[in-house]
Amino acid sequence: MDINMKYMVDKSKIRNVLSPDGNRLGFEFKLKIPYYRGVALSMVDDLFVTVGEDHFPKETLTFTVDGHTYTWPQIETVTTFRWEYGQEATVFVPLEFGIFSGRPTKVEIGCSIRMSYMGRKARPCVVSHIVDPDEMDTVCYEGGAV
Amino acid sequence: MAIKRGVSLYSYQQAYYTGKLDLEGCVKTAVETTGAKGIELIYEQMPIDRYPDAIYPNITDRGIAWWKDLMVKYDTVPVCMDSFIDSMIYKGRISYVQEQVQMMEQDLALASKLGFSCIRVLALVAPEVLEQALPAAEYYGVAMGLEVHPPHALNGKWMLNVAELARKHGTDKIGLIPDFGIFMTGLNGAQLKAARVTGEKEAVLSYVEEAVKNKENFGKIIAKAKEMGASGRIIGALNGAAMMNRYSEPALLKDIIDVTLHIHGKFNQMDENCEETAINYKEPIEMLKKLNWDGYICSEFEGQRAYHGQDCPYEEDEIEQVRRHHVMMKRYIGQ
Repeated sequence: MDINMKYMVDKSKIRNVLSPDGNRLGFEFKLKIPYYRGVALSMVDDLFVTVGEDHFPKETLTFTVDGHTYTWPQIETVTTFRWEYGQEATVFVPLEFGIFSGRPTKVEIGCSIRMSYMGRKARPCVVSHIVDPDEMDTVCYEGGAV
Repeated sequence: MAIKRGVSLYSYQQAYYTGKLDLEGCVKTAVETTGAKGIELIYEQMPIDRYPDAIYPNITDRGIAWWKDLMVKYDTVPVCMDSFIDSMIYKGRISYVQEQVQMMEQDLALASKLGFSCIRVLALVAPEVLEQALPAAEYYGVAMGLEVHPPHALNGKWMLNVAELARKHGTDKIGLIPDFGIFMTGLNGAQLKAARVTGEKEAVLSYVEEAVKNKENFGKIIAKAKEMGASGRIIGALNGAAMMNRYSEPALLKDIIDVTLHIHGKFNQMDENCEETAINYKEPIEMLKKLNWDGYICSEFEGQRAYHGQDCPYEEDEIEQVRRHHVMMKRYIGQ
């Protein structure tokens, strides 16, 4: 019963990320909150991504919302800016060369929100998608990855 | 004096999340499909202002004016705003009571600006937070209603303490908001339907539905369901019900009616005959009528989330579910 689980990550918006000189920096995806309301950014308790054998804990990711990019543990201090309900945040994953394996790749994404009064340890909502690199769009980060 | 009908926009959370309805669309839909007057809002779900204009709990004068115009345009009344008090906003510690009181004051101020006469306070917020925020509630003219939500019961000590708190202070700014989830008589109908559409065996479905209605022991039902090869969905639904289902006798409403500010019409599954498949609405509404209670019952549809698993292709029609809920309420209220 993970709220909004199937809407949390739109598979069609998982894109490889290039630098202006064509380097493959990683990939990004759009993430919507697995909860029924928006929360202060400090309440994003966990975020992780697994691609095949590679595991990316939150400390390796960046989280961008409303034009501001955060890293961990920096984001844990942000109590006045919010991730609104239904709003797409952009998560960048520094997977070397991006998803270029030439064959469908399984991407697993987990996110938990520290809800008040739901126990001390937030349980992550985990979704997985099989991504076909041949069908993926790319996006160029003008300033390179953060 | 009659019970009034309203809609919590929470009911349309999926349509909002997926971009099918915006805040105005939710209000318009509620009015046009149910004829309801009352509107309940989870501000943090459907904020009027957002970055960079003003971020919750702040709001611009323009945002306030827009909301008031919206209420006039659809001839609706702001009934209740849902408050959360994020006591775990900081990683690694629980907010102090005084910090929680500050959060409550922010919600009271916002609710007052938007014309709400009460805010719904989560069941587990401590009574001292309510007590210390009382002067602010009096100042803003907005009442704080603690939600009576399962697994709490109507006559649970925690709830009766809050009722006593209100009586001790002689105030109408502290009270209770019973949620119809306390009148649950069986398994969540949406969870059963989700199991059905994802391929659960009919024999399992009919067994668990009947066994829970007949109040058989949950441990035995779970063991038998496992034996029958029930899916994880059904076992999850049974475990949830074992933990959360606490049926309160509707007659208990009379003991707290003096402090009942508002009511949440929680529901999960309305059938074709416009009946909730597992929540008793008839008797509690009869009791409320007998007690001459004339507040709002706001529909709070929650069944959509049962279908949110990645393996579930089905999506519930929230708008139709809420429409059916009001057909039922009208029938029982007598309109």
